[in-house]
Amino acid sequence: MAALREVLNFNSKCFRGVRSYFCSSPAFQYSSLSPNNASSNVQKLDFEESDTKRMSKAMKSYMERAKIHDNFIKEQLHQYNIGKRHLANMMGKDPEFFTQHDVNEAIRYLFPSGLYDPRARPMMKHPDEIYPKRKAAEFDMNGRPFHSLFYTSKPNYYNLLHDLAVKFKQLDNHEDKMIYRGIQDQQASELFLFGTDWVSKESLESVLLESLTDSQYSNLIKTMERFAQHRYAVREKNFIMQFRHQLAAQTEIQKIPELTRDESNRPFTTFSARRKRSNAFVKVIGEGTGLISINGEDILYFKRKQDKEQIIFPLEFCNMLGKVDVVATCEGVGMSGRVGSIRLAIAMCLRCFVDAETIERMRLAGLLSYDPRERERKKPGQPGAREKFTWKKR
Amino acid sequence: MNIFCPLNKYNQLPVIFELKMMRYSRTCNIFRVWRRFSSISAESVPVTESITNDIFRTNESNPVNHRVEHNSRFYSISEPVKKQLFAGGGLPKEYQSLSETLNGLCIMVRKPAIELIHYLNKTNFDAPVLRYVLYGKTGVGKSLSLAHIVHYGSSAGFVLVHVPWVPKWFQYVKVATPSSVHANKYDQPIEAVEWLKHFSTQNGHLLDKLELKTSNTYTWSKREVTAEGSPLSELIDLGLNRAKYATGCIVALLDELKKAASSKQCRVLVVIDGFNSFFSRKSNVIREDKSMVLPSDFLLTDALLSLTRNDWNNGAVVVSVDPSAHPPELRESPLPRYLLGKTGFEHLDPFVPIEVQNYNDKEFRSQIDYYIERNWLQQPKARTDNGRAELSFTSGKHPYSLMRLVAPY
Repeated sequence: MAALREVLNFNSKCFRGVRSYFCSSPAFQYSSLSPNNASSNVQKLDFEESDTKRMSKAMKSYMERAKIHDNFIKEQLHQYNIGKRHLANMMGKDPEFFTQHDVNEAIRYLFPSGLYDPRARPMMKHPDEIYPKRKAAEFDMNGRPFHSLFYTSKPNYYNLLHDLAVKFKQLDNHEDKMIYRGIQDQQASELFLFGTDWVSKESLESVLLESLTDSQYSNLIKTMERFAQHRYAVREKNFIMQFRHQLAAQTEIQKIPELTRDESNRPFTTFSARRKRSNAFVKVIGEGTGLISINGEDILYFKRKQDKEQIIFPLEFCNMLGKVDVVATCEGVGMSGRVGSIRLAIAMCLRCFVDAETIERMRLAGLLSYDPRERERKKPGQPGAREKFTWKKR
Repeated sequence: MNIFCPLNKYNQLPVIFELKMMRYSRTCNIFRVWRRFSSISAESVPVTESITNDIFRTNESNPVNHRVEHNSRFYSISEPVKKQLFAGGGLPKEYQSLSETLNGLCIMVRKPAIELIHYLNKTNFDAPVLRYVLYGKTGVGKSLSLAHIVHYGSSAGFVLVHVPWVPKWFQYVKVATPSSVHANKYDQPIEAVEWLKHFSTQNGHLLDKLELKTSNTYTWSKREVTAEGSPLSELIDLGLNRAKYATGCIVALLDELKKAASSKQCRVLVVIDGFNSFFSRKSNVIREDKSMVLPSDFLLTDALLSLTRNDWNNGAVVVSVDPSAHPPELRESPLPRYLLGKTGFEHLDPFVPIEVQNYNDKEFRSQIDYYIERNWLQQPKARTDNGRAELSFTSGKHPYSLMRLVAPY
């Protein structure tokens, strides 16, 4: 995202929003406000002076706040760096090469926490990651904004759209040149966008430091889409790629576990899976007769019809019902969770025994995805997670 | 003409998983259309795969003749025989209502019953009675095997002493009164009358033919006496009319039968389902001082335990032990030693244990064929190998689980 910030400075000499984060805003200086200030370079008219006096007070307080914040962040950064060195000493590691990963490990060791939510646990991070970023001063002491688009109230966003328009024009000009020269297809190689997707609204907001409405976001994405479809868009590949992120790798799914042979020379594979606070450890053995063993009992370990069907589902789907043996152990609270974890584990094991087409079908059927749903917390003032007490008008 | 959607790769999916295939919205619609046609009769359903050529029925309706060749085949029991033998109980309730729906009581001939029939046919009736114990998990087919044996006993000319389900005598006792016959024991008047009715229905014609007589005088009260040498039917009638003395009548009756069998006047087959309940530690009868009356405190227990002892001959005792005949705390294992406890085991020892297991492949196939033929399984997929595999694995080939799996409720 750092590169993205650089890009935002393109064609906007007045934009100081993010880059000047660490340094105090260079443009304005605390010139004294006395009317007799001889060092003042700006010629002021009478009415201007009173305006600046009035605005200066607001500006002054704004400036002070900005300065305080800057100092605060500097202080935090200083503390962070010192803290890092202290930690490194405590852990007996080299302070010069003490990475954030090492910091996390050290904190986890020194302050073990039983809290459920990772965000509630003790952490020590770079101030950048903890304190929300703010824009530095957007207007000078006289109240004049630096950015030409300041009065749109979202200068960075509109600036980006403006940049896109300019680039569009440039690409069109380039295309005209190519057509004129008769060498149309020379540089028109395809912009390969497969496996990537446009950045989300939240990431854009965090970079632009401006909140966007949904329509503004979709407007921007549509513009980007049009831009990326330009014949010579590949010339601006770096620019476009900064607004795209890699999609969740398919490679994870393609990591099929290996088949090993057991003592009786039958191929088998194991997998452990979770669902809703339950764990299952499943071993699927090939060249089998369809024996199913769950915690030492047969499928009637589960009393409900739906539970039994869930176990059978992946086997039936792959037509492996009488062909493999399944040995499963499960633990954890709740029948539904146990059943779901066994089902996922069986499906994952069956990947070794079936062809790629069936694996793809399994993936589409949802057999290979981990089900992240968990029981929602009960909230105070309500009887349940969503249920409310009876509403009484009086 | 196949009026349903043509077979494609999505049709391979089981219909019962329709709800889980939410992403396949197109196929969901196809399967919903399929389901709407599921209630049509067998003739108009196109057969995608023919029913197996194995014959799952047999014409041999006399269980005396059932042999290994009849294994996994259904034989039918006619309505009058069913009324005679099972009016007082003996068939599991759900199976009975299912047989009414499927238009006829058919029982599958299975290995435990064949084994028992073979033993009973070959018994040396001069030797003391042999005790056979059927055991297995709940819902695996013990009661139906016993029902088969009851039919066999009736066909082979045994006098049947058949207790359909022993826990009914202890866990759902309507009235328990202190016994008139025995000081410390308890009577169960209503249950006793019920059972006497059941006994007389099952054996009525046979008793008339045999003309058995009492060997003792039984004094019930100042005015009611059953003299020595009076027919057993008189004893039974007394019990049916006088609930107060019904339990005593049963005790006397069973005693007489034992003597009659030993003196070769008749042959007695004792069939008891849920025998381990006699040795259970709970009943629903509580005395005034809040202490529980144990099954061993009932007079009927004594009567039947005396009958199942091997101190008589010219008969046989077939008994089943089931975890569900015990209260929930005592259902850990289906094995006889655990269920009978020390006293029970010592009482029955030595016995012949016969295990009743889940369906094997042939029996399972036969059961599915029967359901299909009776139009109980109407989905065309049930006729395919895939469908059968699905049913087989989802039910674990457990007979009761299969019945519940294919049930509409």
